Amino acid sequence: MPEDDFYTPTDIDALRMENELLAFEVRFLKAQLAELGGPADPRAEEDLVLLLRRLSNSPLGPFLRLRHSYRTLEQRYLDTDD
Amino acid sequence: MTEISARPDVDRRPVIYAGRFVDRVVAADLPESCIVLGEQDSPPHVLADALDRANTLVILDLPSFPLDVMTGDHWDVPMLVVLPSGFDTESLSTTVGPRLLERLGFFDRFVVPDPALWKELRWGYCWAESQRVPVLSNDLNEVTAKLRTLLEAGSESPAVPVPDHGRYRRNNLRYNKALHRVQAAALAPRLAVPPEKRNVEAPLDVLEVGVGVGRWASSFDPSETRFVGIDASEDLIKTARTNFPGHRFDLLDPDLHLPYEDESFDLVFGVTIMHHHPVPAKRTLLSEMWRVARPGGQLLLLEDFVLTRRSEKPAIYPMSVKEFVNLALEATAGRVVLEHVESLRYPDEDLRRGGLVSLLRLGVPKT
Repeated sequence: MPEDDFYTPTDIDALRMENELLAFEVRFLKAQLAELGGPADPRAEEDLVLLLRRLSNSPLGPFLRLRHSYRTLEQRYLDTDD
Repeated sequence: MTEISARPDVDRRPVIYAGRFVDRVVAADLPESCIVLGEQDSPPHVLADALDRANTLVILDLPSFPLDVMTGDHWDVPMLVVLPSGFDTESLSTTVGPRLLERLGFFDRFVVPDPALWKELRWGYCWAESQRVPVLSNDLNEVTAKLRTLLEAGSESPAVPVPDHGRYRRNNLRYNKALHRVQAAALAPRLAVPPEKRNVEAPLDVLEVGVGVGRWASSFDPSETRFVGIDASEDLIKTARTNFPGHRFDLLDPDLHLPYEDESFDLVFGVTIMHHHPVPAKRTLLSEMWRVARPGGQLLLLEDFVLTRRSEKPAIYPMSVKEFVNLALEATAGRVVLEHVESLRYPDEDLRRGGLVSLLRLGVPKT
């Protein structure tokens, strides 16, 4: 404590306090985001993988693969290389 | 024309835009520190340069002032505007309303000789009574004499007293105005009356705790809200009553108990009040603010959660935002939800140290 017994924050104190304020804000924003987006349903991703696999193995697969967006979906959910 | 200092951010001085009256103003024996600019000798870059290092801007000749020069933090310079004679409220609002009058606030002052015109403008733009510089006429001799008195009294003597604690810097109105701008930007969406509650027959009830001289009262339109301010200082309350006769201001007892019925307000807020009080008093205030808030109502607090320097007033009780929210939950028996948290960085500072916390009161309204 300083000589006059009143609290005088040091630079480290101030940084620690700012860090705590920002961490609290980030925690709040994450919670809010999760609330807005709703809880993720793991079954949704499983269904998507099943659907993509059926489409890819069907006669339509080669034609669908001509589209860049479809190839991106395959890479993302079926772990294909191209 | 006085030569402008070449060093930026040093030697801030009053800038007086005299426009067409420059010769008479130069002869008026204003303090030597003033930079006096005329219509002819103030091309945009000269004026902008002067504004960069101004501590006050006085506009004596509004019709010839190039408002487009004002950009960015030029609006943080406290202004004193002499409103030209021969204009009524409507013509002023049409010509300079959006470009100037709507952008001026609590830290700016006005020379308006006509009391009726001032009254209309004050109500229209929610200005405080003490923002008016009293003069009998727009006569240039009288205005410059008044200006000389104001400048000699201290080039930055505040138009209206601002709380002298914590973040505010004594004798630096430009900084205080900039700080107010940051706070106002964060508070504005929270203080706005929601469209579904814009009912003139049942206006929103708002309480500000620690209202001071009513700095935030101007954020509320009396036709949409019933604003009540409360403060422990009798002097500040007297000034607030003079500043905003359309609002109600009460004196707070030292025991910090609010003299209002339970569930009386839709919004209860305070700006930089909590750090004045030790934890037990903080608890009492929070508990009282919660008590007078209606279920579904908002408790809004803008505080400093990071202290970076010694305050001029010793009785400062810092508290981290986490501790503060825990205290709020405790004081309200957990019957609130955290609705919004936002950190604020003030002008010319590295750290984000302001924090805005909004809590919603849970519960069922009394019938």
